[in-house]
Amino acid sequence: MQPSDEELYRRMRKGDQLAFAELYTRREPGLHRYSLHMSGSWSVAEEVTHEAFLRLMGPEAGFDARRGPLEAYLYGVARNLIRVTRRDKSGGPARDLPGADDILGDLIQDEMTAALYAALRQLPEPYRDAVVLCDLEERSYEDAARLMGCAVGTIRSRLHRARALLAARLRPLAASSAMVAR
Amino acid sequence: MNCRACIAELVECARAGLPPGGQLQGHLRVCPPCRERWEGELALSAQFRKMRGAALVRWQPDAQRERIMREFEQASPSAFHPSLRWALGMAAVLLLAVAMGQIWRNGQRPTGPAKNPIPGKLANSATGVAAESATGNTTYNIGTSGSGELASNNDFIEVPYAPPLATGEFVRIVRTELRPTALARMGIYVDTTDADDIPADVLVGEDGFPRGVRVLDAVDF
Repeated sequence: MQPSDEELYRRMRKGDQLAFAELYTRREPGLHRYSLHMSGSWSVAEEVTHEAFLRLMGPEAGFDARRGPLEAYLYGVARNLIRVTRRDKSGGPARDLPGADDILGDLIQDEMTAALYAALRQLPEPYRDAVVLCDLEERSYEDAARLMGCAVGTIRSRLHRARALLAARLRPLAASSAMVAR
Repeated sequence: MNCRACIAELVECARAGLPPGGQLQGHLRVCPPCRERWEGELALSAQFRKMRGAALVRWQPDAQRERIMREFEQASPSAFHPSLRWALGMAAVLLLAVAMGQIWRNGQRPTGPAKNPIPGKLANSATGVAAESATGNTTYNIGTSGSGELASNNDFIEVPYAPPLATGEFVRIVRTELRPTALARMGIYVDTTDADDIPADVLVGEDGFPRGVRVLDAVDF
């Protein structure tokens, strides 16, 4: 039976490097993808993921197992760091960025996907969280609710609402693509 | 089936990549807005699949891992290699054992007259002076007793203006003969007309200064 995240955390706080390595192997890929989808930037995702684990090992790690699972703590840290990054980039309070530095869009070389990323970044954060966790990370509603600290029904309704907004944003683009194809 | 129920179901079908059920299909045939939504949901799900694939591409994940592991080693409270930790632990246990042995040996070591009774006249044990030699100089530990207490309990008369003995200070009792005038200057009543020296014990501190004098009877001497 695999040790829980919290058990690995307890061991790593005592200096067990193997426990930390296992925790990193287990949680880093998902956290990185989450950060990537939330920020739309590879470099931000790398730094945010790294910083989240640094905070976990730091002397003032604020994780408390009574308040929720370790994974939710990591996602919370990443979410806050992305928020700070966005605020720093924009030079003021957090606001939605245009898709100018959309590295993923460049990578994919797909107008529709780039537009979807831009639309995703313009969604309110709780909606974006729901889409990223449930559709891009393929988490169950229960998992997403646990990570977000809300009810399953809330996640479901946020996701449906977010998808409706995204579909509405993409509709003109899809229509013009269809006309070009004709 | 109303539109609200239809949308809830078609979103889940699109997410799961499943075709709509019979009832949902029937509704989509007669409801253009729901049909439009269904097409939008299908397109969205297809785009999400692409994005999931793109996100799996990583740039140097191993470098990131090595970096964080290095930082963990630096930040770790016990950054020693396990074998080194064992060695340090064993050394600590060994040191502790040696220290305990030393303490035990000190506890067993004879301390002054308690273990080495000196033959001769026993003094008042309340003062801490355990024994005194019948012949030459002897060293005694007087414990916590001061010279005043010592003098009162052993017939010693304090030497005036002598500094007090420190607690636990070792003293020597020197048996000797003193001139009567010297004893008289200390306030000891003696017949100074007697020309003979008077036998006495002199209590000498670690600094070599006399602290007390006890006049002996001629028979004791």
